[in-house]
Amino acid sequence: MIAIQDLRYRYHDGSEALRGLDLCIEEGEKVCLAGPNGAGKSTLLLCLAGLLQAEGRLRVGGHDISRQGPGPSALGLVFQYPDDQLFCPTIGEDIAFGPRNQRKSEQEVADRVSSSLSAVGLSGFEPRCAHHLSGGEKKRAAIAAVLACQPDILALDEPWANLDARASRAVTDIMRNFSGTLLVASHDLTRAAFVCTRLIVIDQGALVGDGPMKDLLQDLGFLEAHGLEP
Amino acid sequence: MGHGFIDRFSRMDSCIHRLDARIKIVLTLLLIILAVTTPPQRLLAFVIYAGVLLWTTAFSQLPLQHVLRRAAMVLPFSAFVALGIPFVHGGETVPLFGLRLSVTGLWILMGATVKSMLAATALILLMSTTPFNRILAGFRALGTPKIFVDLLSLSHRYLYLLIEEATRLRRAAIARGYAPKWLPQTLIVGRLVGNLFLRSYERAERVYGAMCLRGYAGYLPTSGFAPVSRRDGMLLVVMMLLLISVRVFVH
Amino acid sequence: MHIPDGFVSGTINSVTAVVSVATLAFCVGRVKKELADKAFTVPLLGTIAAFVFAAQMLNFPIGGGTSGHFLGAVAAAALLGPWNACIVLSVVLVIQGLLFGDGGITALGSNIFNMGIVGGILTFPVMRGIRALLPSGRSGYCIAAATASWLSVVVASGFCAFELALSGTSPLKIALPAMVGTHMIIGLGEAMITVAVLTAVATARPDIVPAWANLDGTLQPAPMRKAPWGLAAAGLVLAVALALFGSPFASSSPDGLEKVAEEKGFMEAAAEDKVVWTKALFPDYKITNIQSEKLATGLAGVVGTMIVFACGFMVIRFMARVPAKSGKVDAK
Repeated sequence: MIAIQDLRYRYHDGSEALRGLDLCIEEGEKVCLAGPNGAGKSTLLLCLAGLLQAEGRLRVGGHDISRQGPGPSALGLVFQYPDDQLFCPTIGEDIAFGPRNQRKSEQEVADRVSSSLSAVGLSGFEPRCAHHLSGGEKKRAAIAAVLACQPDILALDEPWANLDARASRAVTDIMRNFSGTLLVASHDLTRAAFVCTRLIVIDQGALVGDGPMKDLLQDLGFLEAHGLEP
Repeated sequence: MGHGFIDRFSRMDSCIHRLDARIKIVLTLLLIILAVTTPPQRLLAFVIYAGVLLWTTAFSQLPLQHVLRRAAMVLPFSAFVALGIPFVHGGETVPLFGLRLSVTGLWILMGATVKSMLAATALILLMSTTPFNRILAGFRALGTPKIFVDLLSLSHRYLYLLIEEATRLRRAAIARGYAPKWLPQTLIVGRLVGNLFLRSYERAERVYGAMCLRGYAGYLPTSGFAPVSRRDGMLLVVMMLLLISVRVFVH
Repeated sequence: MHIPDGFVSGTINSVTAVVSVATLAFCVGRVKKELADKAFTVPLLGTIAAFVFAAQMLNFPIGGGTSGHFLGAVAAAALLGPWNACIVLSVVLVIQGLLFGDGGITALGSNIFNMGIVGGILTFPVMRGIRALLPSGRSGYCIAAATASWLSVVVASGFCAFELALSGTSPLKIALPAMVGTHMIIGLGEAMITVAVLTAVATARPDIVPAWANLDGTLQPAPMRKAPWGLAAAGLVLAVALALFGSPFASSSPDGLEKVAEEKGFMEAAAEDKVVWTKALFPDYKITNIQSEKLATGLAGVVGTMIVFACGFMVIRFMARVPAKSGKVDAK
């Protein structure tokens, strides 16, 4: 599903964000991508979505992403800040944006809008405008906008950041209900353990740990060394 | 100046709220243009325009206080530009409070103030009875270029977020003892604005990324309109005739 | 500087609206043409318009307890190019007029003309001209932008005063010194904020500063044929600015336009009827001798403004073509 070979990325100032990553994620896996702040989690997700151009080989859903510019792909990325993903005047138009660009019929678009909104528990939010929603509602609306494009892989960047307990639970439930491949970048391992079965740890742009979630959570010394806690 | 301040009323329900946005836009613009071009001496015409606006306010169930308070916000500019007018214009003068004021000047002052108030009231009624996305769809349907409508839409979407960011930056500066009194201290405002620009630019980059991932091809989709109903069409024609005849025949 | 409805006459509004709509159509057309390979422009301009709006709400002190606010036209032009700056300012003005009652709807033509076209486009050749004369590096870019920012605010306020005077709302001898005088100080604040913004951007994101800013000396030595044209453009705009604003300060007597207006009863014309086309539509409305002369006076002023604009426009067209030839991106 996702195959990465020797992936490297440099910022404007020349510092290395990713230093030769090798990774393979199979279809249907539920993966948590963990690491301390500045480890390169977000950069990796942006590369996988094709929004950053990195060196190395990068295949997502059978397509070579490394040479392709930003565009729709098998991977749906939910950003950390939902305001950046809700750019239309109303929630309904926002969620319809993806399907409409896929040239679906208006009937199909309407179906997808209502089904993705009900999947995130926001049925009837179509005429609301993003600015009036709470942080948790915005986050769920942003997820619905990505789900409406029907991605094979759902990638989320810090999905629980800035959310209260109830909103976090709602987001966790949405992820558990998603049937495809799941990729969650977070350092909140307690919440991630409810959703993911595999844990990948990166630190300073390099892969430092990869294995079943349960096993790695036992290794407290390893987690401590990379700024994480179970 | 929160978002709710303007938007709170636009999603209420009344016969004016339900009216087709295109009709509301056309009638508002017509009323403003007619009012602005009416000579100030035709007091009766202004009374009728004000009557139409009051009547609309009543039907729209908006609180009158909200409408008037918002309309009064244009007064400071009038004061700045216009209060000097009666003193500096020549011609016939009248004594008032022991001053000699030019009659022409007084007419100009009165006309400009009344017109700006009427226009502001009409706009507030339009914006308080129509959600902004319907206004934009109306502009699009009335022939505004797609790109310009998209820009208005995006800019309106991020406006309040950036105002909040600006307010936070300013508050952070004040919390650390920023109390500007003199022009050189503007440099600190400059740093805030520079910071705000970088944040805005980076937000634009993230928004563009989000758009591309969902298949953006240069245009935002907008919702369309049902054809104008016969009842709404009749209302449009009657109101246009009424307003134009007031402008032409009432002296 | 935001003129509300009812302060500017129908004639002035119509003329400025025609100029503004034509210029905007040109600017939007440019974006549309680029859309296929530069779709970023739409979210960028939309967000930057929101930024300008928010930045205009941060007041700065000008002394004595009063404050001014940022206009942002030159800062936008220095980073995004003049045409995009004009679009940004227009979007800001439309939203301010619609949602916040800041500037009238019928006065949009005048407001876009003053702030978007004069502030964003007309001052651009001055900025490029001054930039080309200074050595490479950040300070040359900032000095050029600072000068242009000050000029943008002052010239825009001058046009605002002219529009009010030609409409008969406020006599030129009052409006011009009052508007221009205040904005000569506000312009200093504008210049400081513009410099601060450009410095912040040049430090954090030098990649988004346009090539003509010549931050790292890649354009050095500047092509010789470029400098004289920049100088000419700067000279022209400065001359016009001095002609417009220098005279009322030099002499306390009413200037030519003012005198004519007083003699011909131009002021009363405004009070009587403001729209040319209503007269055409309603012929029973008497057009007296005096009125047509008043009209001529008004038209003279308008034609003058148009000529200034046309000159500026041609200069910019020429300047815009030079960097394109050398393969440099004019404005990001």
